[in-house]
Amino acid sequence: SQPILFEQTNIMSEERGGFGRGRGRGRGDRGRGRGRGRGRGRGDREENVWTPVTKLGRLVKEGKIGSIEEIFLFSLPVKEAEIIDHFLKDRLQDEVMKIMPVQKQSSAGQRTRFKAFVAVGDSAGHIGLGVKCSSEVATAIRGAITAAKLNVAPVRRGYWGRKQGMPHTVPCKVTGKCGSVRVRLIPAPRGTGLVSSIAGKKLLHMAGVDDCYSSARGHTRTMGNYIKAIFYALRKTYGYLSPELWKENTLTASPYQEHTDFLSKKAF
Amino acid sequence: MSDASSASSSSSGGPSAVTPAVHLGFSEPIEHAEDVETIAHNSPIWSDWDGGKIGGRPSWLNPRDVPVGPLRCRACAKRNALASKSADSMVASDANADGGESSSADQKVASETRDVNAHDGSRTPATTESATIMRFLCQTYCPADAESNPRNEAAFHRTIYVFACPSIECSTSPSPDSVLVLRGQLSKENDFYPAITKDRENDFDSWEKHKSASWDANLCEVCGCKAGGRCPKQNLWFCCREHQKEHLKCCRTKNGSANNEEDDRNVKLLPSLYAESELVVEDEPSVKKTTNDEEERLRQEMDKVAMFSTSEKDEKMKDGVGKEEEELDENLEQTDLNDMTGAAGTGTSDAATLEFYSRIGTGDGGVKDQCLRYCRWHEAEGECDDKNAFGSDVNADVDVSTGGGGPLWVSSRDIPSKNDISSCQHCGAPRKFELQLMPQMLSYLFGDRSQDKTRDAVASEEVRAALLAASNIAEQAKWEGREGELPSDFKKRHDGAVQKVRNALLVGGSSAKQGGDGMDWGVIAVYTCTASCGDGIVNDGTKMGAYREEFAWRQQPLGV
Repeated sequence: SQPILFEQTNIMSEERGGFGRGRGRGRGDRGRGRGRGRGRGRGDREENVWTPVTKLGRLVKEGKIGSIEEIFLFSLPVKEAEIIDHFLKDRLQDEVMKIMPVQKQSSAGQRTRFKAFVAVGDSAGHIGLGVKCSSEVATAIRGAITAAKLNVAPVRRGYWGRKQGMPHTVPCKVTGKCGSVRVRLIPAPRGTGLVSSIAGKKLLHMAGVDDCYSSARGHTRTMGNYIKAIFYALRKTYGYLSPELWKENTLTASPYQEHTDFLSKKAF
Repeated sequence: MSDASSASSSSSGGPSAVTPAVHLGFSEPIEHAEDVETIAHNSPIWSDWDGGKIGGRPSWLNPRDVPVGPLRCRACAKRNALASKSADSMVASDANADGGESSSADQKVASETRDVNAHDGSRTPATTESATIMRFLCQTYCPADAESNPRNEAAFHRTIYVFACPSIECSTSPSPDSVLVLRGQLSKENDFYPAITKDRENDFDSWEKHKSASWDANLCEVCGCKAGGRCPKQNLWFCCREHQKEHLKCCRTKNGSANNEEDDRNVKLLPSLYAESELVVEDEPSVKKTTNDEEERLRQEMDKVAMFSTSEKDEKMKDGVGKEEEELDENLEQTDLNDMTGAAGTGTSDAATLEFYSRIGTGDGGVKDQCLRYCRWHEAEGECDDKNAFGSDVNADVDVSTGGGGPLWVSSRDIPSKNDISSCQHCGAPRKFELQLMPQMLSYLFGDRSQDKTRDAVASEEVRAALLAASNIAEQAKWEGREGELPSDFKKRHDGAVQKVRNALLVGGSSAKQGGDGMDWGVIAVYTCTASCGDGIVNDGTKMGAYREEFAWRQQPLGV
């Protein structure tokens, strides 16, 4: 009644701005200075410029880290998804592995949230798995993608037969198992493609395996057991990382000795 | 209730909660040099005041009773005191047989004390004098006369200033002492600003009362705090020798020559000052509320393209065992996924960190560059101290992404409890969360560092390629069982070299040379007196003039 009226008139005649003052500013609304019209510029919003949140992020943006392989080599802690985006750019794909409703019993009754599992990979030896739970589907999926990017790991691949060109398949027959699920991966010649279930095809492709035979047994519809089995199998097949990183002038006929000499000369 | 909050019911179940409005602060570049005169309190037209500023020097609300410089870090002082105490005690036990350690230490301190801050007559011990000088981060204009409890008309104008210590120790193991928050306020009637600014006939170009010079308050040319003395050589005022030297070194002004073309008074040249930009306010975009039907439809759509479907049709086809394994999937967490891919050591599974990114990603990613979050004195959602309101699941059952007040932490490490937040030392009122500085602000404070030495300075391309190749060799040998073929100290040398480059990247980088500028934080959460006490004029004998200290919690940065 009376006091509120007084307050209203006060506010209207003394229009102050500042944080905490409800002005109904929207996004891109020129909240700055009534009449001055200087709010947040619309220009760079469209380009989605990345503002880093961590020290490593700032280093990456400034160009001080050369490649994602340096991240793994130096065990640099990746705490920003944009760092992965920066290195893998257009090659990065994401796939929803599973979206399942999860019921929670609370004092106010049942609450349904959605748990999303996502895989991201660049099909060139890097893969990440993420999980996020949220009351909205879209938020859960977006959050799971971020989580997957924050947990990217290198996948090692090998050769079949002659070591020519890039690694494209697993180097030997391996089986991974988890629960009732058994997954067997078998080397295949170039051009075979991925012989597998849809889920297996997607995961192996993301991990950078181009050609592979596979067979699976057990309750393969269970996501957790199936992907555990596949990754156990993949990890048994360690070969070496992409040779494109090798520079010709650092290695000659006797690689090991030459390399030790090289390192000792630099006087680390 | 404050006019800032809007009432809306939460989306899923539960009691309808009042969702407080969250304001975000963004950095806007200062296009033209003359615009600096219109930012913050540089302009006397207070009805235009909004947001604040980032970097540069502080723009004082009360230009007369300003804090005395230099503002030194108390965390560093404590650290130095501990170090020198142990050093002194070692010296004393040798030198003084019966004097005891304390007197010898006192003598040492007394002989080194200088009367730098003559204003308040106190003597600063040597350990404090060598403590790092804190740097100005940002200021925000946030009146609180309506919300203060009890109501304080002197909070009609109110500005919060944040300073922090740039040392590497204070950035990696932060304490509340490494941040200084000052609150200045004024009532509507005051000595510095015109009573009515709506008068368009007078554009206040000649108004001077808002400038420190009008009140015979000499400010340090470098940091903008109250100066102690004048340098005869440069004919300028400074608060301490360090700033005097810094200015001389960086801004060599010959007699009478103008400084720069840009009228920013050397902000770009002085290492103690960060890049200056304006802080503008926007509302946080609200989460579009979706109905249960929409959610279900979306879920079904996603389920079709998902690798492993969950639809009921499939469930019926499963035999009894399938149900159990479905539950297994329900319980899969990020750490389990990381075990599968081998990302266990390097991955991020902290729920708080993932929530942080979720929250700043609202509005379709349009607000990711937010530098400041503002939500004054509302409790965090979930409202009660009893975190178990929603059952025994303590693990962030509260869906932060649907909105709510309270600080948004960057990780679950080092979160303060209620006891860690001190009450106001002037009036005893409790302190509550008001705003937080986001780590994005650092990018704007550091400005454009692309001119710095390239990555070759840390380790050249050849060196990095060599290390990568060596790593490959070691890996391959290991998995082929041929480790015996490698030279004996190959692995050791290699690991050592990798470690060296790693440290150089993480600790130093390009900022090591800038006089130890390791400034970094996860978030800096500011808690302020809920009474917003004081009249903003009386200088209560501390070095801070009419400005009152508030409390801040500095959280460790991510990746440390």
